[in-house]
Amino acid sequence: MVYKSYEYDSFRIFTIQTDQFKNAHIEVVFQGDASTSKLTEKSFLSEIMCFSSKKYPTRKDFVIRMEELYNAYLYGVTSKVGNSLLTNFVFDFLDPYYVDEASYLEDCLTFLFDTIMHPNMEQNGFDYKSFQIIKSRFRSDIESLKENPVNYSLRQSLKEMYPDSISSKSVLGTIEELESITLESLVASYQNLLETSYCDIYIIGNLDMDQMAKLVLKHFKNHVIKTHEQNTFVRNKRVKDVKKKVEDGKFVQSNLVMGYQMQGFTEKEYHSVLAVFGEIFCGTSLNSKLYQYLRNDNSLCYRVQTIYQKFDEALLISVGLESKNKNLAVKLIQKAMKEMAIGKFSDEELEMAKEQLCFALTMSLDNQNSIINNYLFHNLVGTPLLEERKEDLLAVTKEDIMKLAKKMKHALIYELKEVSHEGN
Amino acid sequence: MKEIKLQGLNETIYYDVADNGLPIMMWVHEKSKGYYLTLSVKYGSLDTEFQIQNKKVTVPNGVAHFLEHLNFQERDGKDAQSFYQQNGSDVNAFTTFQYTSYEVYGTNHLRENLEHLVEFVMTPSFSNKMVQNEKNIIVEENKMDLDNPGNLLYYGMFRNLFKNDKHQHYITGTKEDILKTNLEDILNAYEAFYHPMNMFFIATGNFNPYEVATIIKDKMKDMDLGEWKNPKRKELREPAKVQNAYEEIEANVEVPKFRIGVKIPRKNFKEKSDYKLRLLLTLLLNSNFGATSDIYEELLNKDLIVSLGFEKSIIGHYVCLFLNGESKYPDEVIPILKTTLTHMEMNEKTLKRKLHSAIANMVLSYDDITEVNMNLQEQVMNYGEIIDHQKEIFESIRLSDIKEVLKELSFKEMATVVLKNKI
Repeated sequence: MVYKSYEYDSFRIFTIQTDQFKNAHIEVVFQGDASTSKLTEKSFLSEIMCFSSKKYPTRKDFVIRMEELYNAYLYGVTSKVGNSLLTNFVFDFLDPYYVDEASYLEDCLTFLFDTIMHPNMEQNGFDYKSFQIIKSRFRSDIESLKENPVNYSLRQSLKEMYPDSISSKSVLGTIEELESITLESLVASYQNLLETSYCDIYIIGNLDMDQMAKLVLKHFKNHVIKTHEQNTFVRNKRVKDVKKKVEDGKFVQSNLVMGYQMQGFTEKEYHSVLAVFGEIFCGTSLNSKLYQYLRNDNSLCYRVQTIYQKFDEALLISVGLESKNKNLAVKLIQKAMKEMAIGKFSDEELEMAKEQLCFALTMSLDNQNSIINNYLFHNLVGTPLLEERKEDLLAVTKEDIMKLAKKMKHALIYELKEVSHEGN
Repeated sequence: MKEIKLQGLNETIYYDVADNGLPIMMWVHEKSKGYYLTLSVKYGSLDTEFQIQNKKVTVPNGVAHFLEHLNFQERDGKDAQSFYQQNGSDVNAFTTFQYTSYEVYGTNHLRENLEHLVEFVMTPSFSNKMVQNEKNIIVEENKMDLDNPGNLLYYGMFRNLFKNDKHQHYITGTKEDILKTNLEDILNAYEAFYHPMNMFFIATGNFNPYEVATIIKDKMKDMDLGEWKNPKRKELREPAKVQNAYEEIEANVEVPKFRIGVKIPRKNFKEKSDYKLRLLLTLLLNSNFGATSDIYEELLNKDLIVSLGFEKSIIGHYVCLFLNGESKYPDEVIPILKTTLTHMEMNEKTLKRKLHSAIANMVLSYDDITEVNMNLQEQVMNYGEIIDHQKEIFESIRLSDIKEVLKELSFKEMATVVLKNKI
């Protein structure tokens, strides 16, 4: 893999040349400030921009064009990473080597950048039909959140932990936020995206990257230079007590979420120690502490997982169980956390955790999305590139982990409580 | 060792058979950083009634899945994950209606990892205590399934489409099934089906295929795996008629969800190859209900649907077509979709474009060692062989083939399931 970058006034291009894949992959990433953005509107924007375009004004036209490009696929993703709002336009297409048409590569780039630079807008705003369809879809997505007990309880937990913070806001938003979006406000949001967001373009594939850079320059007419500062990390209010909340759910299984605040982590702790801690505490293996205590020893659950919102200083532990077992589960999780802080785990566990993480990093090199993701986070928050990251992980000591575990402050016990009846 | 050249794709499948009858299939991707090994047993959740010689055996629904959970426990009291974790690798397993698969991902320690895969799958250690300990864990897993509206719709459709066929039962079984499962059920199932003659091994990724074949054959050579008892699965007669044409299920959904199923006797179709028939049906459904179809566009524009999808399947002696979606107005949408189903059509231009993109997808699937492995598993289970001329089949399809299938479709037997919050 050959990494290369190209810096222009208004955007940067990062390329990874490799002959490992038959697919070529481009991501055009706009990075804005989450706390000053209308999150739902930005999400809506990326959806509507990838639904149709000026040149292909209906969904049908748009998809037919992608099929003509050998099933190329363009989609938009909006995500919040701490205080950064990322709007990614992700485009996959066949390596031109496998295609007879000489113009294929240029056709693909024309499609991608036409979609970004020439959305389906009239004088007064975005296309009304597309707008209505996306609005319906968003309404359904927002309402359907209540159908998924795991996602719903995680979202509620963040709201309980950080009620007034950007950390508890989601890019999907609420019905009220959705209703406030208009055809005109979307145009303003589009202009804001181009004019205030930093733009990086990531390309991976078996392509001549110098030629790609020239083609991007030819097709991507984004000339606004940005100079403002952005910070991804959110500093939340320090929690003092454990908040407890029980909410009645409509599900046959209860969902318990334990929230911890990560207080005062160093860069090293964010980038490497946390991953090793996580693998021992509740990693992919059934032998991690939480799996051992909750599942293997006490048969309390099938699933226990940890979610690290590290840019929001939050660790969430989610368990699906019977409500009557909640108190025991809480005690066991607290016990496991305490053991991490006093170093009650073996050297063997530590080494196995590192092995697992290095293995996962190596396997991630087989996946274009993971490679790009690593590159993106390297640029965004300084995450080391894969090889360097391995070295950092291998250098983590038991003392590092104990120190980190002591910075985990218990903040929340949330339960989405099961209904009493059940049946198949 | 045979080298099966996949025509038009510049790919090779290495094929071998161990002395004990285990088929070994391998696809090498030298650019990959790792490998993916699967050892699969043709034993899934459907196989609950079978006969070995004169002994009839019935086990509760969910036993195949229960067995998969227990098989991770090893003789030394550890579980298989401990071994793989030490080697910086990953192990997992899954159970489907038709088969159970044990899978290993790794980047090194290939020999040890492969030998251990064979070891832990083929030398079980089951006990009453293990069975009891695992019950509540699987009950909680089943509850996750029950809390997923998609599952209610999926299994609900099978329950309405079929009278006897066992696709209507959860792969985990119900809570009652799980609680009544005992050690004898597990042993009966294991002894009947876990034999190399009823299994297959697939490796994809970066390795030497000759070395892999030798490792697995050598490892199995010294194992006493007993005689293949060739259990006879009880064949269930399934009537052509759907069990129930319509059901509304009260569920925790904010936007109603629906699924329409059509049941057509396989013998209606002249096309002998299941592979080609599946392909023709996919092209038809895609063209009539996919993102480029008129009906999809019309229903979206009228705000009648939020999403629309389609599937096809060959289940026993029946070909099944499915449409599923989300709509606030299912009562209005369902009749429209049923009418469209019975008037499906396709033109030359669309066929060409759809084939074009399907071939591109096929080429791209060889970027991913997991996808190739899964595709091979599907071929073994559905067709009993590796299809070496897929691209040729795609390229041979003409509009006349599509028109022939259109004539053979019958929509007499349809079932509909709707999930609503309050009925």
